[in-house]
Amino acid sequence: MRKSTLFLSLFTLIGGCLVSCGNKTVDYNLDNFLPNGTSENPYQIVKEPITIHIFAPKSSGNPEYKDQKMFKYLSKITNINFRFTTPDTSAYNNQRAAVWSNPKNTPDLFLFNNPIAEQVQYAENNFDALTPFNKAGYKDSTGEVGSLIDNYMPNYKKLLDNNFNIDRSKEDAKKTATLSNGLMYCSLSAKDVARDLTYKMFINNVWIKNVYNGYPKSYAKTHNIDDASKIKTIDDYVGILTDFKNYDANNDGRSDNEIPVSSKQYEYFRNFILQSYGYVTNGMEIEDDGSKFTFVCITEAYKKYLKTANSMWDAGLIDKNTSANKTDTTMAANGKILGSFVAAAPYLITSQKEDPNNFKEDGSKYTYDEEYVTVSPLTSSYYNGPLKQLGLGYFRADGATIPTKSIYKREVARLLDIMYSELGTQLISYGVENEDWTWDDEAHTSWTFNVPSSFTGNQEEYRATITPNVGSASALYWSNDFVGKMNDKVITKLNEQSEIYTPYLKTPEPQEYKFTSKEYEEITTIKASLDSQITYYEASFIEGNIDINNDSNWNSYLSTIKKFHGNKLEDIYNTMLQRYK
Amino acid sequence: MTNIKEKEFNFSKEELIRKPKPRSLWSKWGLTLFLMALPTIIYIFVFHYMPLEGLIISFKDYNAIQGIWGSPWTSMNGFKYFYTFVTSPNFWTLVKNTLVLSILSIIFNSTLPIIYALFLNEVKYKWAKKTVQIIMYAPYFISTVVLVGILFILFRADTGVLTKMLVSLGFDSTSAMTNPKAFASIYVISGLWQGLGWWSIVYMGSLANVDPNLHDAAKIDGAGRFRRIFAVNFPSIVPLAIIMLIMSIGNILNVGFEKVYLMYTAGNSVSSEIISTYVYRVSFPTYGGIPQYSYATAIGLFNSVINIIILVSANFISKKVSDNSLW
Amino acid sequence: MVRFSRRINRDKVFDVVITVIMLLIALLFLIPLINVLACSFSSPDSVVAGEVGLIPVGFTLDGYKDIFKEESLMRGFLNSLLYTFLGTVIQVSLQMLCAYPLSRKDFKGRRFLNIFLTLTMFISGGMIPTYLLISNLNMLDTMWAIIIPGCVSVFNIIVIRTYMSTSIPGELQEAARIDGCGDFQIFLKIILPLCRPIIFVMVLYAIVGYWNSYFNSLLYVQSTNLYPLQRVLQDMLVSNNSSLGNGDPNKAEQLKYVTIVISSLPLLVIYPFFQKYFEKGVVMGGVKG
Repeated sequence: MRKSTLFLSLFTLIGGCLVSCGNKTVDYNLDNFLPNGTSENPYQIVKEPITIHIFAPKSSGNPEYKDQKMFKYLSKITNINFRFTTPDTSAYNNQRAAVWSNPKNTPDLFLFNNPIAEQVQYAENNFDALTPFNKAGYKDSTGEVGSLIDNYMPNYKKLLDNNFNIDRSKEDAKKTATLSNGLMYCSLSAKDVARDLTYKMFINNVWIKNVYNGYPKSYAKTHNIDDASKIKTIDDYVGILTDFKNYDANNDGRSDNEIPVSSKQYEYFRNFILQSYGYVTNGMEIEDDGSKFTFVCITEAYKKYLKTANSMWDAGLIDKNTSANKTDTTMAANGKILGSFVAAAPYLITSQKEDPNNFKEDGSKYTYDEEYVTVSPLTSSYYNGPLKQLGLGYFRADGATIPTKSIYKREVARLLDIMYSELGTQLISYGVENEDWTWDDEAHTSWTFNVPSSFTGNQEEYRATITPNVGSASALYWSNDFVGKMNDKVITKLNEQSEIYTPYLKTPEPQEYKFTSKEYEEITTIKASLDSQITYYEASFIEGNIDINNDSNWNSYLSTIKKFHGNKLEDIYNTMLQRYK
Repeated sequence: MTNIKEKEFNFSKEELIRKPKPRSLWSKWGLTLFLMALPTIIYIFVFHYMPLEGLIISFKDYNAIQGIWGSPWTSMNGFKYFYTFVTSPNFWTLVKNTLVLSILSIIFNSTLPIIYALFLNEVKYKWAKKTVQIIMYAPYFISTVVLVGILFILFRADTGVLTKMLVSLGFDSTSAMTNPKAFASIYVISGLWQGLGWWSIVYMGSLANVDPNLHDAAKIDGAGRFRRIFAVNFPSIVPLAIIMLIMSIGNILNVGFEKVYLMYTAGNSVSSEIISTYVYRVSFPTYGGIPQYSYATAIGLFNSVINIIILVSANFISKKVSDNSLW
Repeated sequence: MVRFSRRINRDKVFDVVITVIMLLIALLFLIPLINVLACSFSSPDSVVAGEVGLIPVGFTLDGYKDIFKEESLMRGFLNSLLYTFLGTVIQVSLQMLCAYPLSRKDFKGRRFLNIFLTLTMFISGGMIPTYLLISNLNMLDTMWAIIIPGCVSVFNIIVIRTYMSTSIPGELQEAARIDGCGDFQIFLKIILPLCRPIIFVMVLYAIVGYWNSYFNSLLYVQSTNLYPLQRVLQDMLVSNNSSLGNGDPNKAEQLKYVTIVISSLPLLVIYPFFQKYFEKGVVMGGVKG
């Protein structure tokens, strides 16, 4: 009897301790807020410093947010102090769910990576969790706040109205940000820098010249391809890769050590090859006329891609490690002898060492990464319509959300607006003018990034000490107007090479279309089991473990996809599309 | 060691009965004992029982805003997610993959260490026995991350050391890590590499305790070395082996997430997708959808229930058949 | 007589053969580790080309020189030492303290406590509730979030309990009590000294567990200066997030081997010292699991 009483009182005690984690309420003082800054400092947001709690994702390799120069600088000019919660990607979802249970943990601002599905779920169920940015007369515990965009975000409003200076026929900023109830719960993350709008297929142009010049029987010579820009069809591409395989393309005296093409799993390789058959991805893709979504991995085009890839595999053109490559670095382990690969930039895959065997026209040696150029989208005998390239999209409604529990909505809105201003765009990209970077001339046509010579890492690692926009987090506005003017040999070349893709970009799932939360849920459940089937069959068909040329195999693949609700997935997408018509 | 200590407290039975010291109420109720266990009781209550309320969400449509208790119940009297799982198209594949890994592991991990221990026990040179043991324990101390890292390196296509060996045996030069047929073998063999020495410790110890008289008797009966291994040594470790077996059967659906997840590649995905990795994929959709916490918790609960049923029945059978039991 | 000596001869042959076989098996098990070790001393280019077998090719110590410049790795190393030390002390004391009452047949709450503990081996609340708990205890982003969750293993308690009740004679405790010892004194003066082998086993388990664990840190810790070694390793070996090798992929590949060696070394060095205990302890504890 006594003991059980003891137990009980003990548990109540512990329970009590846990519950009693008190939450102090801070009184809000509207007079402290400076909507228009001060005459000396237009960026100042509050008279007396306040502390804003920011929730943001962090890549494990990056320095902590509080140590990043951008936030130190923002804190200085706005008079706002920051407190950060920055879970690693693996704990991100958990922690995001956990903040709501404890008012003390609810942030004033979710910066970056706000899932659209979550916004839809909260809006549909009237959870009143996130503050609408564009609701006239919006009120909270501090009185009338009004439309955040109209009242406090002039820079963002201008960008929205001008569609971030991006051609409206491509994507519409407002549509992307707005949910079906007409409200925007999230500010956009926008980018228009060519090199970050797509994945790029690189090929070693020096090797092409080597086989063209050295081997009269080569495909390059017989089809008169002496430069990557002359590769127009998938046959050309495969022909050149075959040359790489058969001849001593890298000029090192051995013809057997070249690996014509590699990829991080088949994902990136596939997107590129598939483009020559009319689609940019193997998942759901909207038709060019916007009439419907097609599940590409059950189409004839996809089968053609598999056949091509399978014949490339049989001919030994594809790196045998492809389906085991989990990262760029595993692909890079063979970097020196790769003929072609998909990457953000060649120097991430190959080393920047000098290639002892190949010489430029002026007689100097190439560094390995200099030898690569981009391959433009291709056509094939099956598809010769307009060229297509997978587009990652210009806008995403994942930039920033403000929980309704925050009493500092006005201040956060001002802060966000500063981050969308010219100053903010520069800060989040490359840091503080004249400290981290300087204009090269009066006319501001280019600028130089100042990496201190004492810094031991590379340029991106230095940038990570300034801004969170390295690794997983996106910038709010990654603007070509500023970023594109960077004065750097490698980056400038990369920008130029990337521009060949810009006219052909196609976003397979346009961000303007939104599902209902029930649909999002169903999609997640279906894809959790369907995706690994598709990946498995793709690898098996390509590597010949299942014969793609045998129609009964293809049919059993189709029925597997059907069994795993592939058709249902297609229906969900098209039902959604119908709502927008 | 035990014997020496025993002598220090060598009281006769009479002495014990004759002068019993009156026990205080405090010690009579075992309060000291209770206080000793208290920290652990609190710990277990806080970290194991308090989170149990979370199992509720497997019957609910959990969302972060409304929390565990506020979220609405699902349809089908709360059983929606259990139904979704059991009827999902890869349910049987998941169960099959999980069972293949765990049954193979159970078979090899419970037999090979015994065989290994029986033979190691026969090594009479002390230095050799010590050396073998020290070496065989080493892999146990390697972390899973490092182990899988090593596997990928050894099995790299064309250049990997083990790939080269397989090629000379007439296999393909692709990486075995992408072959669904090789997945289970790699999983089990690498597991044995790590654990064989370590798992055998228990058996080595109980072999050391085998009564030497039994051996002498067997020798006089004319039994050879092999005979003695199987007639004397082996039976002495059978009860232990059965207990170990029941324990592992009780965890039959709990195949470690970490190693399988790390070993996952596009090529082997049909074999390497098990229940726990599926739960992970549902909770952390790469697609950017809503994490399906309710669904994931339902699968976890389903798993636990099956495990308990299997454990109880295995124990029951063992009790009936061999008189060995966990409780 | 003749038969007897022939038996001895056969025994000798058997002894030699079995010894050789076991040594060969051990050697086979050692090969992967030797390969890693050889790679860590080889030149980056030969490592990537897959030329390294059991002997370093293009012997160099550069990797080891460079690795000590990796600040994050060194910090992770020190953190892991601290976590392992604290965690081991807490874990082993809690388990010992709890196992003793359980081993006492006269302890009133024994049955209840047994069930209370065993149940947790089979059922758990799941990710989110555990996370909410850690968050509500204000343990997020502290080293306690790495040390405390999962620090008591019920399985280990049962093993210790079994060890105590099977290998320590009950008369001994009874005698001590008559001598005037309280329960806690009995625990300190009689049980603990007799439990030395199982304590060492538990210490070893704890050290291995804490040194090799990274899941808690992944979920609950965000400050880089709190990262344990395995977390840093995960970035280097699996996610390839780190700046290893300063942009030279071959160098990075070789440095991975060096990190593997450096990170596994502490455990590989200490376990032989525990060997005689774990052989004794595991057995006694495991006999009646």
